[in-house]
Amino acid sequence: MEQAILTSKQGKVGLITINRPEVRNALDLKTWELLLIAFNELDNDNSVSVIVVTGAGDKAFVAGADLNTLKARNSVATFYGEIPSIVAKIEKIKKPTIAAINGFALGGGLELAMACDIRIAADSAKLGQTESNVGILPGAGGTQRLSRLVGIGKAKELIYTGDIITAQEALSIGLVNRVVPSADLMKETMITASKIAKKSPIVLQVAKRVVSSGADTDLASALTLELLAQSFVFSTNDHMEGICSFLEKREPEFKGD
Amino acid sequence: MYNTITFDKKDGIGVIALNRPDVLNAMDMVMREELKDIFATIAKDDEVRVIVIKGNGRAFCAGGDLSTMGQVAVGDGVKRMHNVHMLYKSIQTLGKPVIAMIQGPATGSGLSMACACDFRIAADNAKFAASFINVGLVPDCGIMYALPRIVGLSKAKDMFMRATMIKAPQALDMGLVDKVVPIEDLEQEVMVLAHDLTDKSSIALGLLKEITNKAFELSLPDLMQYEAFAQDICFSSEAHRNAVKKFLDARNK
Repeated sequence: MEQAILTSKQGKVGLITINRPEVRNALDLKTWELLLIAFNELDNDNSVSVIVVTGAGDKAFVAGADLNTLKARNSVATFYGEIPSIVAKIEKIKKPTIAAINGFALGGGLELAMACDIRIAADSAKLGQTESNVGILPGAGGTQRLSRLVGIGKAKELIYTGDIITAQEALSIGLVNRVVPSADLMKETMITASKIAKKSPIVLQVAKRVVSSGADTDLASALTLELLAQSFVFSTNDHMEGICSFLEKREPEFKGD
Repeated sequence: MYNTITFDKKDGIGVIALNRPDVLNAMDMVMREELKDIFATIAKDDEVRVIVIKGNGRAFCAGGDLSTMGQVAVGDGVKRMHNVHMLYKSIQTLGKPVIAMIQGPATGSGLSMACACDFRIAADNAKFAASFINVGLVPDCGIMYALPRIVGLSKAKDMFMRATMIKAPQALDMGLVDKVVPIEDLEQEVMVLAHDLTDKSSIALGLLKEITNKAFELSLPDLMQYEAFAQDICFSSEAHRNAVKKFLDARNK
């Protein structure tokens, strides 16, 4: 039986493929759990610097949730449900994460993509926060991460209407970072991932934490955090290697210490 | 299953015992990992409604294992602090009451762990210190967040800056612990509290813990919103409906 989540490595880039094309890569609880395990494994793998997640096939990244399980769920079960905390844990993965959106990213699929640091979309991809169509809220961070990415006005419009938008419109509102021809999605994503993977792993992880945490707090506190983080980075060997290699006009060799 | 802790559950109460008594239950990486793991397991186990954390031997927990410090490599330091934070968060975000049962020293990150709990019940020989400064460290495991909220900013800074040793009677006065009992009565006292909590609605306990933990950070309007949704959930819970029915039936007799 084919596995629902596939993991592979290309150089320092870890690749996670959601592999349920027969259900347009819809995520049920079991698949979410396997997805988190895959993220954690790559996050703990010292040979991996950047993590990419994509969907199998060319129709869907993740086209939503398993509606049958939603039908069976009640209020208390929803409060104790694990999917929101899985998405939050994916957002807190220490290494840079990239969602390579190869097709439909709807509902929970869009929420997964927004939990990643960077979104690169195929030009044929379509995105939507579609939960209102089935009488529920975006419950895995969509009500919050969408507005932080595209602004409150656009977020309300997308959440209220449940509309599905094109990759181009997603680009114009800031929901995705870049749009590339479908056939080039993985190639372009890997170019970006490899570029990032050349940097000091410590700097990448610290930058991720500081930018993410700082976004939620007041400027003064965030600047204090930045100062502490920078002071810490100056205690590393990587910072020496980075500065020296630049002055010596050679490629840096960051060791992550 | 675990090397540094033990876990037992009975009658809805899960008891986690720190189990490195020859080093006063000093916390090393293994213990932190095992604690994180058991908290993750407990979160999903409906049979465990209340948790007790205790230390085997004569101490609750004397803090971080110093034999693992002093030479911490930079990359390891980041990972270590991440683990330390995850432990604090595991206890704070667990939607079930957590009781610290404290005999002997609760110092350093042992104190941090006690402060992360919802209740602290101490034996008369218990003693408390934020001993981090003595080894040139800042207080960690979330205690700079938790302790001021328990004893006030001024006393917290005194404990942090001077590693002041606080004995059980003074800890009670300061509000650092909820109750002090003779050591031979400690276990029973904690179990009475734990059993009392197992009788309460677990959904209501979980919701109120989550919101109360944020009470000092949220504005009143924000907290009211949380409260409204939480209450709607509770209104639809069996625990609420059964309790009301029981009350009205008894009253109407």
